[in-house]
Amino acid sequence: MNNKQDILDIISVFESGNTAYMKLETGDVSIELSKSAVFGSVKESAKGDEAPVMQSVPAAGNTPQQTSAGPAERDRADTDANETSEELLYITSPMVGTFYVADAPGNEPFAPAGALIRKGEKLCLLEAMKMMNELTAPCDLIVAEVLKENDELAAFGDRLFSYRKV
Amino acid sequence: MLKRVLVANRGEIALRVIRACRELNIETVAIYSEADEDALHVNFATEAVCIGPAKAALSYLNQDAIITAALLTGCDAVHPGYGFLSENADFADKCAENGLIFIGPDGETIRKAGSKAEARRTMVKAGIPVTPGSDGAVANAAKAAEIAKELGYPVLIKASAGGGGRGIRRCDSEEELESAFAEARAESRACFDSDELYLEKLVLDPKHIEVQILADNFGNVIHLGERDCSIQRRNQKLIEEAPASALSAEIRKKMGDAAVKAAKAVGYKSAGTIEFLYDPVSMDFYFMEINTRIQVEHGITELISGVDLVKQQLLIASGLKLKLTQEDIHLKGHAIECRINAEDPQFDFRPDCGKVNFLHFPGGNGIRVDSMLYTGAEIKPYYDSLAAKVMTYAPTRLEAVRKMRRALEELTIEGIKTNAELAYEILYHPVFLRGTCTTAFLPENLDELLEFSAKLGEE
Repeated sequence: MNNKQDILDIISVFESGNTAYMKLETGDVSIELSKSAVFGSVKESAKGDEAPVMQSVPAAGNTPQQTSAGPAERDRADTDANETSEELLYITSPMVGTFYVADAPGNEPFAPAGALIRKGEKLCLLEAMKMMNELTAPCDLIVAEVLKENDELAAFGDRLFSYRKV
Repeated sequence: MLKRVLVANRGEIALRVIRACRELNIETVAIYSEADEDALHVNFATEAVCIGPAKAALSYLNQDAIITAALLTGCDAVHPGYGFLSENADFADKCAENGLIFIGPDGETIRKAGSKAEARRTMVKAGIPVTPGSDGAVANAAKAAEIAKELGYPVLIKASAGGGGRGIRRCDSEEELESAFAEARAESRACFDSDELYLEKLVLDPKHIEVQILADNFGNVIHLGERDCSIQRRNQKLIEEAPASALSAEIRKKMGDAAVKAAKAVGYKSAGTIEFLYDPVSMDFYFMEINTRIQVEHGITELISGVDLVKQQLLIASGLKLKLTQEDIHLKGHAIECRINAEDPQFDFRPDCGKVNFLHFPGGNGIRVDSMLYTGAEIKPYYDSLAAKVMTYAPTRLEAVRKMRRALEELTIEGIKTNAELAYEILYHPVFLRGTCTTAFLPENLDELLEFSAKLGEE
């Protein structure tokens, strides 16, 4: 998706359709669209999908549609419109260590901004004394911002992520 | 030369180390617990890393967190201060394993010095007088009784792995021996996870005299004179002096030489202190233990010798040879230190916490104050109660005493209770003025001194 026209097209498709919430990430563009309240049941995005998938949940009743979104990065956000609480909360470091966003340099970050992370899922890694420690989500949450750089020193109590509860 | 040092401590000693580093253009990294966020040492260092919550075990004693912080901030050395991990052989080893210079002796030396029974044996071999006692560990009460008979009662049964006054039982007669032995063993097992006990003759009413030494990594060792630390309450020093005026020049020289010998015998490096018990009646002195760290009272030695001990530690750790020889050490004048603790003597010295809302330290000719306090500083309950070290230095002991009286009159710390008044009263006590205080002084006179304070407070 390279130009403004594509974005405008997507917006108009979204507006005219039944979809209440939509997030699309492709290349270096990320779009998040939502309409007001959610109706109907929530469908979880499939884990470990190979193809980049964007799932949308319609308003009450209809079956979910699956659209492939071109050379998109794998969409980790659950596009079922989980409502998040307003309050911005923080994940702080429980130890001193090196902060890593992914399991290896260049790999997909576990929890980039906008990602939906379920309780117990990996958020990041903290390395200290040649041991890797996994930091997992304390609850279902949507990452608002990643507050540390990859490979940066995380001191005890440093804010690593800001998030909103789902 | 070291480039960046992580100061693995807090409070006044962290500040002390940071100051010495700054004077040598060495960058510093302070570590702190959440409780010490507003501490002075955090603000004075080049960088600071929060390493854990208030509880010492999770922060200042957290070896992994400290080493990680040192590695990630690019430090080449770690200064452990006193207390906390300063005499932890495992920590010293871990630093070395991770390519960090531990500013102090090797882990192996710390370990050897930490085993009291082994340290005794090493000293005996080196020809240094030790308190008459058993040659190493004593297997059982029967053996202990044999040895005690030879030594003569009273005796002390001590835990080899012991420290801090724990795992010690006094025994005044053969009848008491078996039970005292069993009790000491039980406490040793509980506190230090060790069964090993040894015996020592109890030297009644000794003076606690310790000698400061400096050793480089090349086997050069010098001493910087002794300190008299006999004024103690429950094995906690309150007032220290340098030199120990009770010693004759001959004894002073003998003790200094013994200290250097002791340090060499354990392959010591960096700054350390050899503790002796001095019997003022028989004028015998006996090796007690080696403190393998810089000590709280190091400042008074600095005042009479003109040597900056912490800077010397940094130079030694940088791999430099000791420039000072024994002939270069000239001790001049007299220095006294009063430890000012945040505690209430009237309520059994219970620690006092709170905000220091007004602070004035004494100043003027011959005064040195080492403290992490500032107006608005909060003293929290998690760590030791040392608030400030007030030191005076003058050409004679009497002048130093008068100066200390004046200094304590000036000292104003509002918001917390301290033992300043108690220290002040001691400075007028005839036994103190005569210079004959032994370790029995404070226990014997404390009640009277406290009563006096209470009466003054009533007016």
